[in-house]
Amino acid sequence: MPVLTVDTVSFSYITGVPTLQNVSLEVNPGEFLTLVGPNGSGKSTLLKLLDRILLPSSGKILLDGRPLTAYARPELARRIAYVPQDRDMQFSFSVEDIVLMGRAPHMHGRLFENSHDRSVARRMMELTDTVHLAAHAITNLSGGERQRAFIARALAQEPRVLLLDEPTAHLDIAHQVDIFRLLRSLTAETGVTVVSVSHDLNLSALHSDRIAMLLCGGLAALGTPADVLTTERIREVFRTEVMVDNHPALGTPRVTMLR
Amino acid sequence: MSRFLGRDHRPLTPKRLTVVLVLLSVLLLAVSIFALSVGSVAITFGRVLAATTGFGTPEATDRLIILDIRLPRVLLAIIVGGGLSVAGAMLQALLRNPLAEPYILGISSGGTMGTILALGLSAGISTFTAPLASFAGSALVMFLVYGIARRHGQLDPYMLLLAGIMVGAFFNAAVLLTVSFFHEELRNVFLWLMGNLSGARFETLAVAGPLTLAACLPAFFLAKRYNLIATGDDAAAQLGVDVRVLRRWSYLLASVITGAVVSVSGVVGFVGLLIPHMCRILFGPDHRLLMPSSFLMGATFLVLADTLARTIIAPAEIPVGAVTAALGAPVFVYLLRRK
Repeated sequence: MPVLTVDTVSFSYITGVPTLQNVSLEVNPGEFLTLVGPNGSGKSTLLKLLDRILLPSSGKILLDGRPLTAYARPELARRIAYVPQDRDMQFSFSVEDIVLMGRAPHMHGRLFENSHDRSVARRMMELTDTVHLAAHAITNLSGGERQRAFIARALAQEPRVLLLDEPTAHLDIAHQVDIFRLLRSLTAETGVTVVSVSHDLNLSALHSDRIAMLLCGGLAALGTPADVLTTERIREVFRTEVMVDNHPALGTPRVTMLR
Repeated sequence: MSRFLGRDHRPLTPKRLTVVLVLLSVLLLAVSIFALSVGSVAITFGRVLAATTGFGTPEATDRLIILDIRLPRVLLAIIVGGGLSVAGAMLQALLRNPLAEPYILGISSGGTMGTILALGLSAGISTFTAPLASFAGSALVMFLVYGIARRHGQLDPYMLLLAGIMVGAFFNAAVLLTVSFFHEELRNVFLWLMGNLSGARFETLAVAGPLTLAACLPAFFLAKRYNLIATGDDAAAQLGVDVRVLRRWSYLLASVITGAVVSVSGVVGFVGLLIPHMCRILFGPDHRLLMPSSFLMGATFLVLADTLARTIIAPAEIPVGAVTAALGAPVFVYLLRRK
């Protein structure tokens, strides 16, 4: 049974201007699905709909066969974690504070975190290479470090589904590779399902099981990287010319930009 | 020791919370006893304790001065200082804006208008007329701003801020217009506008006090949720917080606190902005400690400020709002530089 089912979902921020139109797709348990598409194609919106941060204007979304609206908010928070795009922080919480916030859905009204919460938080900071930043104020970090801290927080929720909005946007190449590798190993080892929005077609090709390509609020393509990442498809959706061949070592599609 | 009390960027533990709050409570108690002993008639600590607790041999004159005159004033300072600080902390969390403070949403302007109307029309039929009218004015502003800022059933922080400033400005203009027409009768309004604790009476305190405390209490229980919305509405929602309900309740509570406080003490400025920041610098941004420590710190600060206000040029008084700014600004700058 698919873990997430999007059934003919439409959404508009402004009435009359649809951001998403009749999108349907299924996300399989333990898969790594990447959403790609031009700016404004509705990728981030779809992600927010998947965590009930937004409600569809028509259609419905199911988690494990049950409608999202049937779950209580804290229950949903234990199953789905969402990492938004980076934003500026006003208050100087430490990184450890931020990661511990991820334990909130598991605290059942307890006022303070216990040792189990702290050890989960530690482990997630180790996975995201943020342990050395634990005592640093989040306001003093670079964009990339902040992002890794927020990913650690989402992981601390111990969710079954992880939704990430451009998780590697500000990361240097080493951390980009690390985060994608981490997400991939999470799906392989713990069965977590990952849905990620990305602008990096090559990293997506290397690690995703499937890619969903959106265009103007609709699903233009859905399939394995090899099926979806073709010169014609990229020309049609992104309106740009690229060269697509195969990664020399791994055989996955490799998108090369042209001058 | 200072590392334990101060900012060391480790997550908050129950032990640290208890230690800080106990110390702040002791400080508040000490400052209050000091305030009770100071005035045109100096009364030693021993006699203060005797008069308040009844142990030892309290003297009748001591009891009169302390219980009838000074105690209501000190209690009022605690309620006002504590309440404004908690309201300020709530609004800063709600609006995710470190410049937010209790009067930013126009409540004080409504309260001032209410008081003016009461003073102008009835000249104090009972001790309750002016405070009630003031609270009604605050409530009017609260509903107006709420109505304007509501979008799709949600309180948008940006709209809330703008609506509050606009409605506040409108009522401020109304106040100034009214005063300029009736300036002779309403001379006292200016004193009131700068905050004034000299009107402390047990009758009004008995209503405003519990009301303010009752509105502060939920703030302490919502503290975890304030931590979560600090990183964004989406982030808080996905962690299980009902952001809509939190915003609505916080707005209501902050308005009730501000309205109650303004109705009995006028517009005491600076406390609601300064104290949460001071506590953040000293104890960190975690609202589980920030909320209660803001209350205790604000109460202590205002008791001190009011004591200064009524003794420095005795028998005349300086408006307490002037003292809070004069005292508070240098302290705040010092803490900022030290950070």
